[in-house]
Amino acid sequence: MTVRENDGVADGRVGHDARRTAGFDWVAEVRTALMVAHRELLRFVRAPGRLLSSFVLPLTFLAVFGLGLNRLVGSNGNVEFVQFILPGVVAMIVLMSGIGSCVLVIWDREFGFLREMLVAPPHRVSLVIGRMAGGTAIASMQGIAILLLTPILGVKLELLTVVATIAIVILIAVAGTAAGMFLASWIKRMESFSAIMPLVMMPTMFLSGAFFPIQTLPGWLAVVVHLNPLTYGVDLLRRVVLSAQVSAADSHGPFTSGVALFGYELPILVEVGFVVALIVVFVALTARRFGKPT
Amino acid sequence: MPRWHSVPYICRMSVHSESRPESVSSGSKELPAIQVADLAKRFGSIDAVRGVSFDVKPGELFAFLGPNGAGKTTTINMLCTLARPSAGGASVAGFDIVRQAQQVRQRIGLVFQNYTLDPQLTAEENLRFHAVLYRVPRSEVPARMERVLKLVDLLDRQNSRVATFSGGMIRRLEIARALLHTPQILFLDEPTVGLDPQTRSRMWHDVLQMREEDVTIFLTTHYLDEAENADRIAIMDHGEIVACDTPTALKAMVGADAVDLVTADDTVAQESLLRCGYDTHVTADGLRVYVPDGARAVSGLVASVDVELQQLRVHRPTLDDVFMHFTGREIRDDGGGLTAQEQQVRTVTTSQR
Repeated sequence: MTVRENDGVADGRVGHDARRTAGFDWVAEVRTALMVAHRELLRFVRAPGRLLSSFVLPLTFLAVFGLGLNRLVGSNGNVEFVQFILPGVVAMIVLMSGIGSCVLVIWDREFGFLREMLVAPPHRVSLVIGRMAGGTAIASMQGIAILLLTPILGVKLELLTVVATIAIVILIAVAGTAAGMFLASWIKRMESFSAIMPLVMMPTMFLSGAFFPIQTLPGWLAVVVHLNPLTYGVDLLRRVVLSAQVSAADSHGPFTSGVALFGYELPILVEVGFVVALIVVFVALTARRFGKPT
Repeated sequence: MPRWHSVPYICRMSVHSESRPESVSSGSKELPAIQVADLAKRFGSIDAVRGVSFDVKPGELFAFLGPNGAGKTTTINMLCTLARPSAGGASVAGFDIVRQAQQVRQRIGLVFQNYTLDPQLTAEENLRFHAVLYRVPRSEVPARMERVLKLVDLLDRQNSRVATFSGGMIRRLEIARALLHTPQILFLDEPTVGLDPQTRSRMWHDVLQMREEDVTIFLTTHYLDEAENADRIAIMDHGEIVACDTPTALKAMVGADAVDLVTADDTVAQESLLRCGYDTHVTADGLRVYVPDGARAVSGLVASVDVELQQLRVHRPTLDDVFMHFTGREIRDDGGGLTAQEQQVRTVTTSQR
């Protein structure tokens, strides 16, 4: 190559921002991520339809499955059916909202805004992190809003439970957003998105143990459910939300026991580990795909 | 048609030679704003850009002229670090486009063919987003925003959502945004496509005003009248630069006046004109012949045409003639003139955005 190079200082210009940007600039990268997240929130707030629908769906599930079937199913070890599915519905809505945040990425690609971001100086990982932060914030807030119903439904809570619950909600939100980013890095067009989304969402939602105890499933279905990552998220959230109630009753039934693998009930930390590992894999795959110039 | 014979030395040689031509607008900066050497891009088996070389001087307004599918956008994408060259290299603002991509990005402003604003945000929010990504010091943001918005006359709309803007306003806001981080070089990829004539001239007013700001401007266009505004034009066709010089010099290269003819049978007429040694081309309306002196050549031309002559017009060469001279066809038949292969190239390029 015959192109002559210089260190960029020889051009004799003063007042260009470029001067300050030698090397990796942490402050700038963090500000970029925050700005990307900020935009995501602005857009969420400006779409009242999205805000509304994020409440209608979980409340419908709670009413239909919870209250509708509550009489029929009854309670199990001090836990009523509606109390049983509440954490399931929350985990589900958080995951859905997280995955759904990839719409904006696809939308940005289709309408060009992605280019504005990709050609800017910040590292692409900062952009992905910013997006995930925004998506996580939105999804967590939706989940926490639904969880405000917990006392109304008569679930016994302790302060520690509340803190742990919020932490788990955020964890699920991060996982959902990471999965969403991964999908967004593959789905290129809006049409494909609307075709693929239900295909991903429906089995994930209904084969997760959100709406029924998984201990009593027939063998083949149990295998599918145990392969579904959301199963562990739902179980985590349920164990934490219901912990005060369950320990008070000292009971162990299908509504109150955790996910077991090969007859061995998983400790909460192992389930957390599963979810974290999933996040790491999705983020790595996404960063790899977005980070590559053509 | 031979393509390379008349490429001026400045396009092919200046990268390798130590003595450079004088800078157009200011002699103080000796290094080129853009240096390109044998830059090439392949998509699979398709050569989108086949080894182009040129220099752009600081402060220059440099235009890439060519039909759709000629490789203009692919070249710009490589210079903007959005695509990796398959061969060759380039430096922008003194930095290598592959190894120093981040430094390049910080120093360039971009206006793409397609809109790249967030319509759900206001003009101001779009600019603030850009300011953070391009590391504009926070204290300078308000003043700079006001200045660029004033430049494109959108100051009174800064709090409106972009969704309420017209196509021309969006374009102007994009130009304002591209200037927000005081880039050394501004890339404009087909900036006036889809704009009405009034908005186009308004946009050109803005672009020409930017030259006062000491910005190097690199733009692609397939409008000949827009290329006229440039200091220098590179004509691109089939991934190659077939000519590169000032508009005046390019017209001089055609060397001659153009005579447009409409006859009862253009095919027969063309044959007889070619037989008589005239430089004859087929246009959308009829035939065009290039002659050293139009007025004197007319009688000879009329004598050489065997069929009935319906119309004859003599004019000075335009960029249209320049384009035809170098590529053998009119630039107007661009869209329809795309081969399947070229269209595939465009699809590939688009899908990688």
